[in-house]
Order: sequence, then C-alpha cells, then structure tokens
Amino acid sequence: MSSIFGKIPVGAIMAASVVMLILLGLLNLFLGSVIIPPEDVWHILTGKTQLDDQVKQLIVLQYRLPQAVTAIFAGAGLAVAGLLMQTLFRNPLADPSILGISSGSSLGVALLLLFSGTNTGLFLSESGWIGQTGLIMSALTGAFFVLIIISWLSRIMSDMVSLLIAGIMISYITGSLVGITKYFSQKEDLQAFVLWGLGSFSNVGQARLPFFAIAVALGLLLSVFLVKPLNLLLLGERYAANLGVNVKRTQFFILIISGVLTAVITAYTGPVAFIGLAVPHLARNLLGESSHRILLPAVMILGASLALACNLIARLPGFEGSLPVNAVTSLIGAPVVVWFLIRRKHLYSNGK
Amino acid sequence: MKEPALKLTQLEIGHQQKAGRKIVLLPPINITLTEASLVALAGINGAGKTTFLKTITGLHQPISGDIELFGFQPNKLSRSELAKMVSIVLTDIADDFYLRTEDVVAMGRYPHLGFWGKLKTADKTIVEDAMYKCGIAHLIGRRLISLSDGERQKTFIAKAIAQDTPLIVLDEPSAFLDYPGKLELMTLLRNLVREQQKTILFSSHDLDLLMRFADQLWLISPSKPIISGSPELLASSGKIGEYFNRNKLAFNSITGKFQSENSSAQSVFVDRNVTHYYWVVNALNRNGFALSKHDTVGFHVSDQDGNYKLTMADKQYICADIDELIHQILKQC
Repeated sequence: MSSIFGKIPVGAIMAASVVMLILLGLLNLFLGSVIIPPEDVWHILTGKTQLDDQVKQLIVLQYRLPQAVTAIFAGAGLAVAGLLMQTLFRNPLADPSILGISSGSSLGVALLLLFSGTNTGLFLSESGWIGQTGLIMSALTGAFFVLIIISWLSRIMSDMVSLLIAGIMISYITGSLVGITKYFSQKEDLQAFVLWGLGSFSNVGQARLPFFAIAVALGLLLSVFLVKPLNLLLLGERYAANLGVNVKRTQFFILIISGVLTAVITAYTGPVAFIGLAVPHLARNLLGESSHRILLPAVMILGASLALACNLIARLPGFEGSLPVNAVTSLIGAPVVVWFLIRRKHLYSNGK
Repeated sequence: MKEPALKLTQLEIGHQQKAGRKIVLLPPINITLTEASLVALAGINGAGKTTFLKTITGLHQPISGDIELFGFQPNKLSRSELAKMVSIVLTDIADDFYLRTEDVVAMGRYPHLGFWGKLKTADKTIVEDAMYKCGIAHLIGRRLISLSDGERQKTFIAKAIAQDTPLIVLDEPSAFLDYPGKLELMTLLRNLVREQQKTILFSSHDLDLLMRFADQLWLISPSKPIISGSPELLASSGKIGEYFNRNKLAFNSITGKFQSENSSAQSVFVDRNVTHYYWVVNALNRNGFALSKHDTVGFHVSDQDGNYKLTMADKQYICADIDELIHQILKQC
C-alpha cells in the first residue's frame, strides 16, 4: 500500500497526521489573541498555579481548552459525516449539509430569535448563558426535525438520488422559512443570528462540553461498525447486496449516524462549512486509498487537525477577538482541495 | 448425472405495485440449470432478462413460484449464506477514483471475512489466484477508473471467482466490449466452466456470440414460455426465429443470421462448394438478395476451377472474385 507520495506507506502518513494533530492541539492551548507565556500555560495545565494567575488560568482552562476540544470533536464529526454522505450518495459533492439538516438548525435558531424578540421582548443576544443554551436547544430541535423527515423519506423513496434531491429541496424550504423569519426579526437578534451562522468553536463552553463530546464520540464509534458495508457500497447497491449487505438498513444507519453528528455539531458550533466536504477528499488524495477501514480514522484525524488549525488562525494574536471559523475554513481549505484534485489526474493515465 | 444448480418452478417475475397490482413480465417459468455448464439467457431488449437475473440472485422478490438454489430457497438463507452461493457481474460502473483492481477483487472475499474486512494470507492468495485466472494479474496496483471496459469486466469476473460461489450470474457481460473482447470474455467463461466446474448463467442479446459459446440457450419472450436447448437445435428448428423475429427482420436458420425480410428480394442459390461460401452469402445478403434453398431460382452461383460461375436463364458469366460476381448480378437485375 502506498500513497500519492509514491513510496511513503499509509501507516507513516497516519502516524505523521497524529503527531500533527497533537501539535495543533497544543498550539491551540499555547497561542491566542491574549499572549500568555508558554511556561505559564504549562504551569496552568499541570496544575501548578499561583493566585495572581487566575485570569490566565481562566483563559487557558475555561476558554482555550474547551475550544480546542470542541474543534477536535466538531472537525472529526463533520469529516466523518461528510465521508458517509459521499459514500452513501456516491457523489463527491455530498457533504453533511446536503440533506438540509444544518439548515434545519438555522431555522430552529431563527424561529427562537423571532419569538423571543417579538413576543417576550427578551433579546437572546443579550441574555448570556441562558441565551446560548436556548440557541443550542432550538438548533438541535430544528436539525432533528429535518432528520426525522429525511429518515421517513428514505423509507418511502426507492432510490438514493431521489432522496438526495428531496434533501436539497428541504434545504430550500428551510432556507426560505429562515428568510421569512429574519424579515420579521429584531435588528439585535438578526445580528445574533448572523454571528451564529458564521460558526464558532467557543459556544460550547466547559459546562456543555461533556454532552457534546459524548454525543459526537458515540456517532464516531458507531460509524466504525459500517466499515465493511461502506466499502461494498463503493461498487454500487446491487454488488453490495450480492456481497451480503442489507442495503436498505445500511443506508438508513448511515443516514442516522451522519444526521445525528451533523445535527449535534451544527447546533453547538453553528453551521461550519467546508470541513465535511473537503476532508474526505484530502484524506483520499493524501493516502491514495478508498477503503473505509483506513479512511474513517484518517478523516477523523484530518478533520480534527483542520478544525484546530482554522481555530488557531481565527484567533491569532492581532485579531480583535476572533475571526469567524467559517470564513477561515473555506479561505484556507478550498485552494488546498483544488490543488489536490489537480494532482489526481494521474490516476486516469497510469492508474497507479 | 449432473445436479441442478438452480431449479425454477412456476416462477413469476415482475413488479409488485401498490394496492396488490402486479406486472408479470414472463409466462410462469419452469426450468433447471445444470451444474458446470455455460448457459445463456437470451431474449430481445425489454423481455425481462435483467429482472429474471435479479430475481434468481435474490436481489428482487419473485411475484410467485419457487426458486431452488442448490436445494435451498434464497429467501430462507441469510444474506451471507446467499453471498457464498451466487455471485454477480453487472455492467454497473463503480466510479470511485481510488479503488484499485485488487480492492475490487478482494471485495469478493468480504462474505468470508470478519468485522473489519481485513484479508488473511489465504484470502490474499485467493485474490491473486482469481486475478491470474482472469488474465489480469498485471493490473495489480492499477486504479479501476484507468481500465478499459474489457479489463474492468474481467476484474469483476475475478471478483466473482474470489467470492468462490458455485454459481456465477452475469448481466450483459459483452455489452460494452469490442469484438475480440467479446470472444476473449466468452473463452474465459467457458474455461471457468470446463476447468473450475463453475455454473455460469449470463444474459445477452448478442446471438452470434451465444451460438458460438453457450452450452445451452434459454430463450425468453413476453408471450411464449421459456425454452432451453443447444444453440444448434434451437437455430435449426427455427425457435430462435420465433423468439427474436420482429417486423421485416427474420432469423435465417441456414446461415444463422438475421436478415431483412424483403418479399420482393431476388433469390439466389449458391452452391456449397464455391470458394469462400460464407463470404459470398454475406455479400449477397448485404446487397439485398435472399438466399434460396432450391436451385430452381433465377440466379445460380457455382464453382468453376476456383472462379465463380453465375448462371441465369441461358446466360453464363465467369467471375474471378466476389466483388465481380456481385457486380454482375446487380447488372443483370
């Protein structure tokens, strides 16, 4: 087994990716818009803190650490959801948002902002922690509402292409509902909605982190059970069925796992674009592999790394506060993906 | 006495629709497939060949009737048990960029593997062996998308061999191949039957190919019961004509070819002894002449020292080659 780099074995690339992931994780703790000396960060992390370090301690433990952990789980989860969608629909353009699940969470958030603003006079944008929890709960509700419709459609529709188109239609419907809702919303809440829509890994926070991490980890774990059927689906449904796969049931599981991952992550971080679409392509290119036994762990590592890298860039020293994650993911990632796709044309010619 | 690999009893295939409505494609099917034989399922486009094959491989539910696969009913077997009995080769194209030929062949081992689908040494040997048998050992490491249609077809046949099932079912395996590719494919299938004792059932409407390679033909038609027999028997008894003929086109049981049925065409009798008899007939058909069984018709072609002697009414011409002969006949019309 060798990769796009020729003789470099897949194992070596995977090992290098893990090292990169750890490095990026540490950088996320050591670097930020507030400059904290590395030895102080180290002391805080190892628990050797003095009293006058409380602010720094707060920044590292309450802000940077949960943000890094959020980025790791969100990146890994979105990348896996994207890989599952691409294999399910046998379509390289599929990504976690394609079935309208993330626009479902947008609708949930938009509706919440509309009703809290106009009916109770309470602006969520100004109500802190309770406001954040409210946002997440409504985003989750919206996403799961769409997921339930999609899974119902998957039972009554005969083929995956129809389902894909139905999902895109649902995106349009929820999109226009979001538009209508925004039209009637207050200005302050509109801004809160725009901010949520740009995505951020800092919304999860220490208190909500355990639920978020456990939910995503569960999705990642369950995806591992699909390795064999996912590989066989690469040959198409009929070959997969002949090789012992219960195609309908597998497709349903893929849908549910990637749907839950997308719903949870979007609810907590906002609709983070690009990672779910791009990371599977990067992983396939980098490793020259199609087997999900290798691709699944690879997209988890690469997705987490990419999210960490973008998070790092988004709050580099010098930027006031932090840049929206969505802007960074696409700006940095898109050229990289195009470059990789240009490189793969050799697969046609000599096929190696 | 060979055992039946497949026994179909009063099988109705088709599509079950809502509210109990059903579309039955063929009259009830009663037929058995003998082990270690190469059998072709033939019928015109749209006759139901693909649905037939999907039904007997458990990918499609029959409307009624019985299927017995080596004595078992497919719908009572588990998916993995069924996967070890019958393998399929389709014309579906897997378009993943990174699949390698050996990955595809290795997928044939999946029903035999554990949770991760990781190949053991024995499985790797089986995969390599299957690729070698199909003449694609040199394609190891190549991506599926870089293969020609013929190479891809052989890759999927190797997958079926790696799957190690006694029955292999192929849907239109010759569809996208060039002529030498078709012959190569059929030779490979025949060798698998002779050397590995595989039972192979394939669908095709490529009659010329079937006549040359199949041990048995199964002819299907929406209006007639399925029949089976050797290609020669079905051709000479005119059955192929019955199942395949359409307007203005008929199967000629002398030449084994389809010809435009043109009642106003001039008939020509050609003596069997002429040089290149086959090509003379070909040239005549191509130019719109019908072949006659009786030498009492207007044109009569016979041999004269390696040249062609054309006799009509009381005139005679000697022609050196086929082109000259055709030219002369056309001139006389």
